[in-house]
Amino acid sequence: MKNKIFVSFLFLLFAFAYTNNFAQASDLEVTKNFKAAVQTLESDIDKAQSATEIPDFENRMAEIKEKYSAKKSLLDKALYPDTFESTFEKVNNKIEVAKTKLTKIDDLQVEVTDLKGKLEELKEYVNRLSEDYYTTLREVVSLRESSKRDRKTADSLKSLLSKLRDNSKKRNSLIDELANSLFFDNAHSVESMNDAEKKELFVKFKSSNMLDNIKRLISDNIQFMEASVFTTNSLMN
Amino acid sequence: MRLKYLAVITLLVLTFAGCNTMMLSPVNYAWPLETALQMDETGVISENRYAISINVQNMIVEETAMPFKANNEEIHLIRNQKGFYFLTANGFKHVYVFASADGSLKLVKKVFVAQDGLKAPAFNQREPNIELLQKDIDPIVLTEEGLLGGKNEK
Repeated sequence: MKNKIFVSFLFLLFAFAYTNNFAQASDLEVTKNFKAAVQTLESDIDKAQSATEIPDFENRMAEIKEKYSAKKSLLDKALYPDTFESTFEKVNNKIEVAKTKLTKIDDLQVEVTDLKGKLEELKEYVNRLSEDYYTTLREVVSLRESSKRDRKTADSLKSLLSKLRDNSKKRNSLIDELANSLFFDNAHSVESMNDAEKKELFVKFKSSNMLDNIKRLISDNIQFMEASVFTTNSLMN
Repeated sequence: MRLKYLAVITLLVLTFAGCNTMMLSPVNYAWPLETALQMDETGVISENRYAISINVQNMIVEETAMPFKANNEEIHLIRNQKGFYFLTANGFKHVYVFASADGSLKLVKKVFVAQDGLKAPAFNQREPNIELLQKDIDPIVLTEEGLLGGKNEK
C-alpha cells in the first residue's frame, strides 16, 4: 500500500515537473529558445530538397506552437513587432512557398527523367538506323563488286540505294531534331546567350555524344556518295 | 469690497491653475523581457530595443569594492511597471534598483539577494513585480522597495 502511494506520488511529481517545464526558465531564455526553434525550422524549410519533407515541417511547426502556447502572452510582447501568431503565419507562408516550389521541382524532375528516357530511346533508334545503314551499304558494295549484271541485280541495287538514301535522310533529320530540341529553343540563339548559358550548352553538347553523331553522319554520307557513284544505269550498260 | 475679494480669488485661481503640471497616468513602463548586456571597456551597456545606454562602472565598484575593471560578465537589466530599473549580474550579491534622474540613474534600493553571489541570474517581468531567477534556487520576488515582504538593505 505504501509502495503504491509512493509510486503515485512520484508519478504526480513527474507530471507536475513536465507540465511546468517553463517554470524555472527565464522569459528571455524562453524567448531565445522559441526564436531558435523557429529559425532552425525556417532554415530547414529553405534547405528542403523535396516536397515529401513538407509534412515534417508542418508537424514541427505544430509542435513548436503547442509547446509555447502557454507563453503566448509573453511572446506576443517579446517578439515585437511580430506576435506569436504572426510568427507562425510567416512560417506557414514559408512552408506554402516551399511546397509550391518543391512540387514544381519534383514535377520537373519527373519530366527530366521521362525526357532522359526518351533521349535514350532516340539514341538507340539512331544506332539501329546506323547499323541498318552499314548493312545496306555493305550489300551495295558487295553487289557493285559482283560480276552479275542482270535485271534482278540492278533492281536489287536500286532498291538498296533507295533504302540507303531513306535511312540516311531519316537519320539526318532525327539528329537534327535531337540537336534542336536539346540545345536550342525558339527564344534563344547562340549569339544572344550569356557565358553561363554557353557553358551549359557546351556541357549538354559534350554529354549527348552529339559531336560523335555528327562526325559519323558526315563520314557515312561520304561513304554513301562513294557507293552511289556506281548507279544502276551503269550496271545495266 | 466684494469686487476686491472677487479679484483676489480670481487671481489666486489663475495662479494655481498655471502652476499645476499636467499629469498623464497611468503609465506602464514595464519591459516584457530582461536584457542581458555586455559592457564595453568603459563600463557602458547599450540596449537597442529600448534605446538606452548606461555606464555601470559605479555599480561594479560598489558591488566588488575594487577599482573598475571591465569583464565579460553580462549585466541583467529590466524595467518595472513604475519605471524603476533593476540591475544585477552573475556573482553579484545584490540587485540594484534605480530611478530615472536627469541624464542619470539614481540608486533607490540595494537589495541583498545572495550571500555567495548570484548564479546565472535572470529577471522576469511579473507585473507589478519583478521576479529574480537563479540557478537551483527558488525565484525571488522584487519590487522597487526591495524583496517583496522581506528585509532590505539601502
